[in-house]
Amino acid sequence: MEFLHVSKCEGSPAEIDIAAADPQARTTEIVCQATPVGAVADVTYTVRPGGAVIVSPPPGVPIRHTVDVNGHVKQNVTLAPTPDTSKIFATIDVTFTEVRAAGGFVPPPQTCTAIIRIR
Amino acid sequence: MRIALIAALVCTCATGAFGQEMEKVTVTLESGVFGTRLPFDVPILVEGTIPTTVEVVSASYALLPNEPEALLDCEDTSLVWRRGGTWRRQQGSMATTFQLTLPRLQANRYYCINFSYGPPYRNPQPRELAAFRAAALTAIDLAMRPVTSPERFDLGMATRLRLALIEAIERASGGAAVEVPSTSIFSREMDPARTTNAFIKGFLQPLLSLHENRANQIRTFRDFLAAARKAAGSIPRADYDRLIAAADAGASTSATDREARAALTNLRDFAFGGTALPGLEEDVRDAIDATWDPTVIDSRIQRLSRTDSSLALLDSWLTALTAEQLKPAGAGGAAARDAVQNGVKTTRGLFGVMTKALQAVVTALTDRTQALAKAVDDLTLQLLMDVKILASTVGNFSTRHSWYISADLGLAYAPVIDEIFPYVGTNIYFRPVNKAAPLSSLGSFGQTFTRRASAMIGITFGNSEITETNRRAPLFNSQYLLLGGGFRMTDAIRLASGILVMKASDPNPLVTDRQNIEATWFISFSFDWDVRGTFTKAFGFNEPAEQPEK
Repeated sequence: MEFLHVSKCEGSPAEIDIAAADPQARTTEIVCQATPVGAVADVTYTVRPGGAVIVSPPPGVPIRHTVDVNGHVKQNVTLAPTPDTSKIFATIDVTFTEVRAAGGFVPPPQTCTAIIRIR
Repeated sequence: MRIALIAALVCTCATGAFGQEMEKVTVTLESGVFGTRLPFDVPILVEGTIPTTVEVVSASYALLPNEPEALLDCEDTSLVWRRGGTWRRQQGSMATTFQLTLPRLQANRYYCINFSYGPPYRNPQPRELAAFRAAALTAIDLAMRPVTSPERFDLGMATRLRLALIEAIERASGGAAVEVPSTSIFSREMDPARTTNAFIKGFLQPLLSLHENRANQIRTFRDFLAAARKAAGSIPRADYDRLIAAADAGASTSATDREARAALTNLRDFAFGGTALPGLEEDVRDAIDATWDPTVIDSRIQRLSRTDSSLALLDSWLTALTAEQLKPAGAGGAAARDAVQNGVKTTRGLFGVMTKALQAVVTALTDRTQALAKAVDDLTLQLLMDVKILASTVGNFSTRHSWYISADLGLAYAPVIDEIFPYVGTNIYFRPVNKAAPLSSLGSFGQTFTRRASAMIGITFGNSEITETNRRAPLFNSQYLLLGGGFRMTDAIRLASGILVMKASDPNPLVTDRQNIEATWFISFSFDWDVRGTFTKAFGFNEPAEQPEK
């Protein structure tokens, strides 16, 4: 019996322009490395208080993902525009709750964190 | 004529022909040499060329021992370094020349002049670099350990780390103050908020990510440890006991049964007794949090692997259990086997995640070591390049003699013969004197006594008034000799006294063929020869044009 394990998450790009009007400039793809391939999990994306605000996907709302053949779970995250660039990073916590067959043992959720620099 | 001469000289002094001056010298930092010897007794303006990437150049200097046997070693750790001037690039400037000042140096001495410039730090002294790197690694390592997330790296932490690094540099460079732009993280004047940002963005962000990941993985390990205990505890204790009884029955003859019994007992105690399984030693004392050595985590992974192996053996044993072997387990033996076997599979699955979490911690710690080294490398690039140059205020013979000898023009009065006469004098000092250095800048009369006092030897000119037929005659063809001593009262005016040496005829008018060498005392005031330009202008003479050097 192999449970989901998430080893790390990174933003690509690792730096975004939080003041940009263009949502693309405020978007980063969060790539998490996980095992095993094919594991299914409900994933939520939240930014720690005091930093930026996520507009997409809705913060705290789970999105179902499957670990792809490369061992990745990917999701574009767009932050809300703000002229306040005093914050130098957005810390995005990605929480995985593995989805298993009914009646099976449900393992604890796991969190990994992507630190995105703000320009 | 004499009145005009005196008036001209007085005007010369009043206009202050000898003002405060800086003597300019050029330095080539690349080759570490000065263009000339250094002047003494006057502030020095040092000029050199630098790339446009250099933001700051500062100088410090140390006086080398004045002993014949002394080594002229600028790396001597006993040297006492004093700060000189600093040049800073104006914002947006593309200047390729810097100028800075050095204070007055002593004459006839050797000095080490240290130029610190940068960024970048292109040619560090290996000893200093090693010392800084070691200190910086320790400082960053210790400062970052409590930081489990970027939010925890606050202003106070950034400031403490910055000061620790500045002190590391100062210690590495023998206590010399660090000269950097005020916007550098190594500047004590740097705005703390900007320092925090610069630290995180420039150097520590990879470290913070690794710390964050490490903290997440430790949390995962703990959560799954609790889940494993819960999974193992979801099986009734009686089921464990039944199977332990079954294993016990064969334990005397079968090693597998003995191992299965041990595994069952350990798992049961783990689930209900709160005891630890190897590799899952309780983390209640934050053992993992306090561990920064990846080999310690590796060791835990090995122990956990052995525990997993024992559960694997138990799983196999449970699978292979025969009805005969299950008899000691009693009526519920088969159901107990299925429950425990299911629990073992779940627990082993959770062990797998825990092992991966620990492996991720090891990776994070290993990467952290590399990230620390990278951060120190990046910080090192922000440091200054130091160039120590041996320099001296020691001149060669032709320059040295000019420090001891000067010439002046004067008017003397000999009271006994009641004559005033002009003369040209040579003054011989008893120490090196740089006439470019104003006396007033060197201290009181007493402090500058040796720079004022000199012996004097001179000859008169235009002296028809002194000569008196059958009474006084020039010592030489037409000149009288003056011997004496004097003091510079100002930079250009000297008061002197001494004797006027002459040939004197015998007072007896009948004796005409005998002349004695006699002397009479005089007092005089004179003006330095270097003000002669003023004389020539005052009297309408043209100075000869300087010939270009060939």
